[in-house]
Formats: sequence, C-alpha cells, structure tokens
Amino acid sequence: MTNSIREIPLSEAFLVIGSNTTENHPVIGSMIKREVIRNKKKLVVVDPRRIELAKYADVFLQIKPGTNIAILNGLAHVILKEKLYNAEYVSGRCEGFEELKKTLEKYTPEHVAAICGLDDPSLIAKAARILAEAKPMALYYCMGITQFKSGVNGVKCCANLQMLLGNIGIAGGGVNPLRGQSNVQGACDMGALNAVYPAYQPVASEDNKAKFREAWKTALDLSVKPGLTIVEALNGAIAGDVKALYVLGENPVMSDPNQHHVIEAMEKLDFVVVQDIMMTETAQYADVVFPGYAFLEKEGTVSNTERRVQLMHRVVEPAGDSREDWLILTQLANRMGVPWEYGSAREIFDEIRKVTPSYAGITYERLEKELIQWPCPNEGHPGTQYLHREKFSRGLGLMSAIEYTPPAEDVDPEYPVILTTGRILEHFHTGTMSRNSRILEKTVNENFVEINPNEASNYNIKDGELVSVSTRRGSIRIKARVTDRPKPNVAFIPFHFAEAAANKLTIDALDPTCKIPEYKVCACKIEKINM
Amino acid sequence: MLILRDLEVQSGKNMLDIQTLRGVAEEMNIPESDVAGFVGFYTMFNTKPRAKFLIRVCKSGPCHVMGSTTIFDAIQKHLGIGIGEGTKDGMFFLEKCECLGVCSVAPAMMINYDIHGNLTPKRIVSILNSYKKKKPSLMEDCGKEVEGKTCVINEPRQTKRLLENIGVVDPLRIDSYIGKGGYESLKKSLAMDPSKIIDTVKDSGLRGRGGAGFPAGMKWSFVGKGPVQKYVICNADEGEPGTFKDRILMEENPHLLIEGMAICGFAIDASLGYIYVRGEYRRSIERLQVAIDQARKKGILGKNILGSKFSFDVIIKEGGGAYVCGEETSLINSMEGKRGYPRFKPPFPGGAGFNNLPSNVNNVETLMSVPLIIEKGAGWYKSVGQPNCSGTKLYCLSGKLNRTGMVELPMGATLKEIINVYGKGLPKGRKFKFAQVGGSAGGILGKDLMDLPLDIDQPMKQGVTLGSGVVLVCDEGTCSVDFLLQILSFFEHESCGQCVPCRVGTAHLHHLARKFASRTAVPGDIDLMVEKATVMKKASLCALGQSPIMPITTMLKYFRKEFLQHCDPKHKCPQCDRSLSRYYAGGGH
Amino acid sequence: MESIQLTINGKQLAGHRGQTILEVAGENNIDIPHLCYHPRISKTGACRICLVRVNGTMLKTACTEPVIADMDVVTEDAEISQIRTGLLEMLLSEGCHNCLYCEWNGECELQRLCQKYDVQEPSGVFKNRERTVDTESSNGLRRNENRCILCGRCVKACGEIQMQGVWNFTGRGSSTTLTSDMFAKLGDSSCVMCGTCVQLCPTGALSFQTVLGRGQAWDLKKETSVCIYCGVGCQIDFYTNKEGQLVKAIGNENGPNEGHLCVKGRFGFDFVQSDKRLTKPLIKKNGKFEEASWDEALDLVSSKLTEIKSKSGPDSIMAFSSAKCTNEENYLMQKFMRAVIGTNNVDHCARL
Repeated sequence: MTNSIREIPLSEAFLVIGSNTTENHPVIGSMIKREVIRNKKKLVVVDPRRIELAKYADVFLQIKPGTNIAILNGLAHVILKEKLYNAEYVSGRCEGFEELKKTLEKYTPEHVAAICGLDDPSLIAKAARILAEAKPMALYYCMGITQFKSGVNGVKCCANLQMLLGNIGIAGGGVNPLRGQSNVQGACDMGALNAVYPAYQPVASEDNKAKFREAWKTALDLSVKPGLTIVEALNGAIAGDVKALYVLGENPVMSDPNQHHVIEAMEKLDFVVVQDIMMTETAQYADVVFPGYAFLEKEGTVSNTERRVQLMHRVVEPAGDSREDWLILTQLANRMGVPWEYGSAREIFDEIRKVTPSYAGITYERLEKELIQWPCPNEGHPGTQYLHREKFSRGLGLMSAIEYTPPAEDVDPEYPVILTTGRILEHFHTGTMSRNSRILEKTVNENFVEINPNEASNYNIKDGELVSVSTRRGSIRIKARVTDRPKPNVAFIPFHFAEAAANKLTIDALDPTCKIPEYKVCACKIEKINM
Repeated sequence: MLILRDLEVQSGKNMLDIQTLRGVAEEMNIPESDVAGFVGFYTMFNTKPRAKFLIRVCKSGPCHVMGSTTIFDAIQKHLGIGIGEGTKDGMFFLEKCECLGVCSVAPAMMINYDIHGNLTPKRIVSILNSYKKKKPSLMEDCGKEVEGKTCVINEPRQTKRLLENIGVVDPLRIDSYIGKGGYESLKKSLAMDPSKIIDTVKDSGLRGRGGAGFPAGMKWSFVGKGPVQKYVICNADEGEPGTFKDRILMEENPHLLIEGMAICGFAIDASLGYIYVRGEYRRSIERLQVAIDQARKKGILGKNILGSKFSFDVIIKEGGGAYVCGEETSLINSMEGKRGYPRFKPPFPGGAGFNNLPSNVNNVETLMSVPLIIEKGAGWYKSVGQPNCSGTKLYCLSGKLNRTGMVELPMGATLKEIINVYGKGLPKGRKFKFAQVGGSAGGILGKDLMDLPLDIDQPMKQGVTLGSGVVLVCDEGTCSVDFLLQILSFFEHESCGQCVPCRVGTAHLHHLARKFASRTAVPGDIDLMVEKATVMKKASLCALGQSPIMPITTMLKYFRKEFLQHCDPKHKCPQCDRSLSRYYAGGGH
Repeated sequence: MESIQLTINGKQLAGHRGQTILEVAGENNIDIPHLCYHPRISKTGACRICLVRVNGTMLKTACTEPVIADMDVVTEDAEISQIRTGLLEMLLSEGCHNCLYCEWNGECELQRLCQKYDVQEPSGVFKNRERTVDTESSNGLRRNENRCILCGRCVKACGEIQMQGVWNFTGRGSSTTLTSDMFAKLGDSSCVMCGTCVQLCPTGALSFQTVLGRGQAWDLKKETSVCIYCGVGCQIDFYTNKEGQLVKAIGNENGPNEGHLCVKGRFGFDFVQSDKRLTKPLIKKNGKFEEASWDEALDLVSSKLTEIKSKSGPDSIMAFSSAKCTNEENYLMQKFMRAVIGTNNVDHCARL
C-alpha cells in the first residue's frame, strides 16, 4: 500500500476493485464499511461478483472478469472529458499525460460498457464523478486486478487514475494493493524474487553484485542472470532443465494454476526438498521433508500490507523435533561449506538492515515499542506513513497509456462459462493451516461453485446439487451454490479444497512482465451429474 | 413506523410476521436485528398473530380509578377471553394498555385505532357487536364521547386563550382558521427580526408545558447557529396518564400548531418541522395531515411561505406505544427509526438532535401559545399567572368528580378551586382522599395542600410536580396500595431498559408493590422501596427512572399506615384483590 | 487542541476539549469503575456505574461528561459508593451469576467490581428473568444471557467495529433481551464469528467455544504475535494454559487491526498444536517416507544439492521461498540460493 490502514478514516471515498475485502481482508473490510455506513463516505465497487461491499456501494459495476483495464480506462475517460482531473498535479508531478489522453479517447462509457458487459453505461460516468469529487479518494485492489495475464497493466491503470485525480502522495489517498499473505510484502522486500536482491536491487546490476559479494563476504561469483519464477521453474522441470526443487512453506501442487501440469513437474524432478509444518499435497512429492516451526513457535519479523514491520514472539513450545526455518538453512549452508554463524533471528535482522536501505533504521528494540513502516533509512527516522509525499520515488509519476486486451481464454460453445477463483472468509490459501483448525473446518468443510440462477436454470441445476466443472485442463466434482453473487455466465470456485481443487481447472497463462498466472479467468463448462 | 402500521393492518391479524419484517430489513438495507429491536421496543407491534380486531383496555390511573377492572370482566363475560387471549373465530384479541389520552371519559378502550370512552358493561356489548361487520383500517372511528371539543369543560370562569377557538374554528377547513385571524401572527413574524421573536418569547415568560417547565425562549436561543439544517420538533407524544390536552388542541385547532411551529422555525432558522404524535392518536394525525396539506396548498407551508424568503414544511412522525418517547431525546431516536432510548446529555438537542443536527423540541401546548404571544405581545401573556410562571395552563381533570375534562386557567390555580369550581366537587356521598397531580411521574396531594398554587415552581417545594397538568381526584374508596401498584406497574412497563437503575429498579419496585397488594410484604419492604427509588432518582439516565420516588414518598407521607396494614396477610382489601386477579391473569407485566 | 485544566480527586490535571472525565482520568491512571463504556465503541452512558461528583454537587456519568475548565471531580465518596453498590446489587439480582460455572471467572469486570464494593449474594426477594442460553448453535461463540448485564457493548462491537449488525436489543424495560438478527439462533444468524462481541463483553454472557485447551484466567500466559493469514498483519495476544496449550486469541489494540480480528485470526490457530504436525525429518525410501535424524536428512540434502549443482549447474536448482515465513527466513533463503548455490532461481507465491 502506498498509504496506511489507519488513514482509512481520512478517505472521503473508496474505489474497491478486484478485492472481496470483507472476506479476504476482513479487518480492513470492516474499516471501510464503517466509513461508508456510519460516516456516509462514498464507495464505488468494481467486481464480477456481487460481493458484500456492493451492498453498501453508491455505484456497483459488475464487470465481466478480465475487463479491469477497460473499466479503469472508462473511468479515466469520463474524468478527462468532464475535466474533473487535477490538472495542476498532473502537470507538476506526472509525465506521459498526452499519450494517456490519446489512448483514453476511445474508452467512452458506451464502448467500455460493451466490453465489460454492463447494461447501463451512465453508471460509469456516475462512478467517475463520485470518485473525482471526493477528496481524498483511496483505491483498494487485490488479486482481482493482478491475477491476469494483463495484471501489470491493470495495476498501471489504477495508478493512472489516482495520478489524474491527484490522490497519490496524500494522506487518505493512494493506490493500495491488499497483500494476501502475512509476509508476502516482507518476502518481496527480502529479495525472495528471481530478479532482485533485498530492497528490490536488481541482480542484473554489476554494482549490486559487487555490493552483495562484499556484504556477504562470499567467494562465489554471484549470478547477474535473473532466475526463474515459480511457473517458469515448473515448466523448466518438465523440460528437464530444472533438476532440483527446494520448497519452503509453500504448496504449489494446490496453489499453482493447472494442477495437472504442476504434478507432472514434481514427478519429473530429480530431487525435491520440502520444509513445512504439515504433510502437504506438495510434500508428498518430496525426497526429503524437513519439519519447520509454525508461526507461534517463531521469533522474527514480518511486514504487512502497509509496509509495517512487526515482531513475532514465541507463544508455544515447538512441536517435537522440528527446527526453526532459518536454523535448517544455516545448518545446510554449513554442510555445503559456507560458515554461517547465525544464533538468532535478531542476528539475521541485523544483517538485513545493512543490505536493505529501506530497513536500515529498524531495530528489534524499536519494534517492541514503535510503529514503523519502511522506508526507514536510519534509526532517527520515524518510518513512512505514505509514499510519494512530495514527489514520486522515480521523480515524476509515470502515466502509462494502456490498451485493454482480452484474457487468454475466451468462452466458446464447448466451454461457455467464465470461471474465476478466489478465497472465502473461513479459509486460507491451500488450507494447510485453516483446514487443520477445528472451528474453521467445522464451519466450512467442502468446496462449492457459485453459479448464477441463470446458469442454474440453463443447466437445470438445483442449489446444493453435485455438478462437474471442467476446463481444457481438468475436471472436478463439486456442489453447486445457486446465488446471484456472480454475474450471469460467470462461475466462482474457492481454491482451498484439495478434494475439489480449483487449480485443476485454472490456466497457466502468465503476465509477460511479472509472470503472474491468470487465475481469475478461464473458460469452463458446468454439467449436471446424473446419478 | 407508518410502514409497519400499514403492514400490520394489512395482515388482518394485527401482526408483523418475521418473513415480512425480513423483507422490510432487506428493502431498507439495514440489519435484521435493527428491525427486530425496533419492533420489540414499541408495544403496539407484535410478531405473533393476534386477531382482526385488537381490543386494548386502558388500566392507567384515571381508568383504573373509574373501574377498568369491570371492563375486563365485561369483555371476559361477553367474549370469553382474558388478557393475552383471542376469540376462536379470530375476530378479537384482548390486551391491557396504558393511557389512551381520553381520561375525562374513563374508563376507555381502543379497538384497533378507534377509541371508546365512558365504558359500561352494557355499552361494551353494543360496541363489540358493531365491529362484527367492520373491516380493519387505519382510519379512526372513535366514539362521539372522545371528540376533542366535548372534552372541554363548559365553564365561563375560565381564561380562554388556547381554548378561545376550540369548537369555533372548523379543524378541517383552513379558511375557517384564517377567518378567525389565523396565520396573521406568522405574517407578522416573517416581517420581524428572528432574534426579536426569540426575545418576545423570552419576555413573555412562557415555560415548557410538557412537564419540565424550561423557559421556551431560552431553549430557542440555545439552538445551534450556522448554515446547517435545523429542525423544529413538536412533542405530541402525550403519554402521561391523565393527560389529554394536546390531543384536544391538535384535533380541534391543528393550524394553530402549524403556525406556532412555523414561527419557531423562522426564529431559529429551521426549514423543517416534525410533529411526533403518539400512534394512538389517529384522529389527531388525520386532522393534522389535512391541515398540513391545506397549508401547503395555500403557500403557508412549502417554499417561500406567504411570499417570504423563508421556506418551511411540516412532516408527521408517529409513535408506536412508548411513554418514554415523550422524553425529547428518546423521541428523536424514535424519529430516526431507532429504539426509543433516551440519549445522554450533553449534547443537548439544540446542539445535536435529530440526525445529529440542531433541533428544538417543544410541547404542543407550548408551541400553540407562540402565535398568541406574537399577536398580543409578551405583556399581555404575562398579565395572568404567577410572577415566574406566566400565562395560562391547561389542567386535565379526571377521576371522582362531578365534572371532568379540560380547563384553561391562569397558572397557579389551587386544587380547591379546580375541584370545587370546575370539577363541581365529588359525587354525592364521596369524600376526597387524595389527588394525583402531574400524572404517574407526579405526586400525591392530600387535603393539606388544597390551597397550593399549582404552577411549575411551588409544587416542587412540597415534593410534587405540576407536570403536564394532570389532576386525578380519588375518593376514600381508593386504596393507596392499589393505586401505587398501578403507578409502579406502569413504570416497569414503560421503562426503556437502557440504564441499569431504571430497568432493574422499576421491576423491583413493581415487585415490592405487588407484595403489598398481595399482603405478603414485610414492613421493611417500605424502606426497601424508598431505598431502590432513591438509587434510581440519583442514578437514572432520564426523568422516567428519576420519577418513581415522588409518588412513593408522597403516598407514604399520607398513607404509610395502609401500607403497614397490607403487611398483614389477614388484612382484607377487595380492590387489591381485583387488580391482582384481573391485570396479572394473562402473565403480562 | 485546547488544553483544559481540571481537578480530579484533588489533583490538578490537564485534558483537552472533547475529552470526557473518564478519558482524562484514565490517562492519569485514576480508575473510575465502569461497565458499558469501552474505548473502542461509541459512548452509551447506561450502566451508570461511573457516576462521579462534579463541583461538589451534581452526579454525572464520567464516560459521557465532557471536561470543562476548572471542573472539580470527585470519583468516590460515601454516596457514590452507595449508588454503585446499589447498582451492582440490581445487576446481580437481574441475572444469574455463578462464577464457578463461568468461563470468564477471573476476567469478569462485573466480578471485579462486586468484589471491590463487597456486594453480597442477592437476597432472593427479586426473581431473575430467564433469558436465552445457546452454547451450541454457533461453531465459534457461546451465549448465556443469564450472565448478561445488557451493557450493549456487543451490540456496538458488531454494529460499529465488525459492521455486521448481528446483535441488537429487543423487548423493553425489564423484558429487554438480546437478539441476533431477527430472533435467530446465533448459529443461524449472519454472524461471521469475528468474536469482537466476546472480546468486549464485560461478563461471561458471551464466550468462545473451546478451540484447543482451557484454563483458569489466572493461570493463562499471554504473548503477542502477528496473525499468520492475510497481509493486514493483525496483532494478536495469544493465551496459553499451564500445559502450554493454546486457549484463545484476543485482538491487540496496538496493531494495525486496532484490536479487531476476523474468524481466521480468532479461531484459526490450533493447527500449530495439531497432531498432524511434522515432528521429525522424513526421507523417502522406496516410495515411502521414513523418519530420519536431522544429521542424516541434512547430509542427504547437502550432498544431493552439491551433486546436482556440479553436474547440471547452479541454475538447475530452484527454491520456492515463503510468504508465510519471516523476513529473516526469506532473507536467508535467497541468500542461500544466491551465495551458496549460486543462482537467482528463487521465488515465492507473491503472485498466487
């Protein structure tokens, strides 16, 4: 997030797009609801499903999955046409405006409504006016923007809109991606990415290489060649280029698109190590399994969606003979001839501070009593509540002219329904944790596919009936939930349930820049199962 | 409230079923629990089926004194149903209720929304029979005896100011009102400086007639300033048992109220007025609505009224059967569609009232006095009454008198004068025992206080209060224990339940009173009662919980002996016996 | 903000405009007993326990009364104590409070005040009204309204924090009760089991279903950590019993969550002590996992990785790091791949 959770009360309006906030980030969802219901703030919701927030929205745009760019361009089109944008901000703080303007010309409400499957184009103009008039307006998005092969472009369109309105670099505004995992922000910050060192320092840079060789005092020649991403690595395994895989606390067999393909890769690998707390679906394919600590057994830091670094304390004694994840890695490194000497998470953090400029000012002592959000360059620095305060990190804010592109897989007579996937309130990701939590599992213990009454009557399906959902990649049996939440011709399946795994169905088409898979849209067919 | 009332009438069973209410919640996009909370608060609604016609028999003070237990007997005999029961054919369902505001013709009952007074066992049979062919409707069809003007005592010695035009103007014709000089004060006001109007009202010494007696002009001057929406709210939730003055005023001269509200609106810069009328007063609601519609047509309400720059309109809100909504902040919560819980103060409504915006709440009688003050001046207004309580007061006479009804007298009339001159004394052979002044929240006056001027300040010094102007006279046949039981059961029934001392305290007091009535009390229960009421007085959030101490201590002042007698299981008290067997039969409170 | 000087119990203190007596007292460690007040919800002013004396005469509820200049506040005197005792007696007689059977024993705010004011067991003159007991319909929450003091914190917790509006009062006066949705059982209601109402409940009227262990309040140990689920990073106080079992999770008000949690943060922690946890390194032999010692497992992995690296090059090895692991662990994983293996083949599920 460019901004902070505690700024939610400062926002006069919210645009929530591609985020089922009340189920996936419930605490933030409640905070937004509170502003809208109690304090009469404005809310525009854009989503293919009639999510809970839609109930409180001033305008709800129920778009076809995969048409975010069109709708965002449509909103920007109206804002430009009606001169509702912040001209001073755009000319003083941004670049690329003229080109953007040219691109936006054709995104009239009528054109956009046709792409997005909206009946009433005037709603687009209405939403644009609401968003432009309320200042500051905060944009919240989640995987409903990013999990497309045009995911990066979707994010850029969000930024375009907020730059046009002058909502970046002010309290209560911002472009606010809601991170879906407790430390996905931190894992990125720490350089657990194929192309960057900690603090997003590119591996391809010789300077960075020299810097890290020095810092790490390594004899090894650090590689300047960016590595593989998850889906690329799995493809590499099938191709025979990747021989060994070390999985730390992940469950790609469940979480990655096109499960069939993932399993094929796992089986092809020469050597697989899995370090986890449970015997996950992925661990079944391992040659060696290391038992790691669970979160309540650990000490260390995590960084949340608003870049706030927080301390975790040990709450319970570790299970059996399991070991801390950092200790396992240290011991492995030692065996491979590298003399790491870490005695605690704190010692590792002290090293992180030295090579991660945005974390340089953060210490465990400070975290015990202070709220610190990176960037925090030195110990006297209070941290950063919101980014791009007076100028953008890169200088001028870059507006990008982006054209709408359709998703990889369109519906056709054989696979006539759009399938989209996501999470539900009671469960999380691949279920390793939530499905092993008694109360959560008792509350929701089986998967379902949400279908619109329209499809239900087309295929003669009753609520609660078992159906088969198939795509070009696979097929699952699953209970139907007939509800007007999804738009007609759209079906939704959560991906937490191994017994009816949504990712048997999803497509592994990737965004060309960031390689994110297109979980949010593929073509499927729904069939009644005749018992 | 109106939507729910419509739905209830439509049900044909006087009920709001859960499915219907869920629909209401969804339609309004509010939590179901809000609707459940709302419906559960207002006693006029019920989620269980009742019958086509719902009979509510009043058991509050005046009706009780005038024999409401015999009415329950008569109904039981005729229809075979007790409280909380319905006839097998689904025609009638019997409930007890608190004051219906027709106390001069007690005992009284309400069938759906039609009020009938002067009930006798014989009359009841004919009234009930007349319903067999009727269709339920929201339109009232009250008996003639409850007609407003017939409830005014015809006695020339009164000082008729508010009553001057009662029975003279036709409440359903605006021209009739205008013909009598109506809306001239409003015209005059619109040409005045708003601050001058407030000064005039201040100067007149007009004090609130709802019971608290706060200076009206002062209240107006406390309303928040600045460019925000402000409201004039008329408190027409007349619920104090024994009070029926506002009903008569609204039924007989609704335009005077509209005029008073418009003047107030102009003075405090409020463009919107609300009249919160208790749900039982269908006739008042209907006549006010006619008056509002006519005034709108004439350009007296609406945009730029009477050609001025000032815009003003009036909207009616209805109550749902909750005495506590007469408390101004409860009333505001009720207007907002919430449970009628009083709010803590500050903030006062003048700063943050309806919708959290500046609001001025005044009683009907208070607002209706305003056009007269503007027309004739503060000096004229002050020319009668007491030095600190100027003007006239409407007194509501009920109970054991030869003549009951409403009179208008200069502030400070004595009990002696009221009883002897206007009430024409007690019926032959009856002897005065005590009078209840101020209603349930008021006190008991014995013979020693016959000469006490009944204004706002002087009764306070004797531990009683004038309140809304109730004078309920009881003869020696009235049992003080039985009478106090009615009062304390009323408080438990009407407590909103929000604050601890009142919610629990009213239940405890009622329980203790029942112990006396059933002769199972011990002498120490007298002190326990006073002790509980004292905590309530000191700690309660609003006036309701602070009130029971007054009837208890004033009653004990005169009749402690009777309470001690009631501690003896062998003591005979047919009155208490009747109350216990009739009112508590169907469970109830 | 405008500073206001006032006196509380003879001490000269400073507050600012808009603060209440209770807030200023709290900032200065002066304890004013209260039950319906809670800093996370709007003011109610209904329990009346916090009545204090202002300027020597008036009794005002400290939770609602704004401070004004030169105000002189006394928080306890004979009359105030008497009123508080009277109110507590009323509350006790209104419900059915038996601490022996109550899961909130030792943490109950009503219990604490009754002890403070030496309130005795009710005489039995006044009967309590039976109210709803529903300890089963909801998977997460238990309701025993006989322990309820109708303070309204749950109503506001749900209506102002979670914004679900499940709870409200219905009925009136002494017949007032709680309702979830429209007279529905809690388990059938729209409750999303965030547990905020339980967290704010001053008595044992609302409590949690047992997640894993139980324990008496005074035996529980508390430690703060960060929720493992989504990226909001809610701070949670986890409680463990004498046996070291996890008992409950309470939202920490210093976190970004300001004390709030969702159903996962509230109830989704027992997997940590699940018997499905891996407790020993495993090595697959002939298609079957066998338990191994750490040395054996670590040696095997290091030799295999070294072998593959020398045979197929460092880029033939890939690591998936974890968004569930700490910064320190992620840092070490990428360092391991880059500085020990010699490849940039490291990624995690940021995109999933």
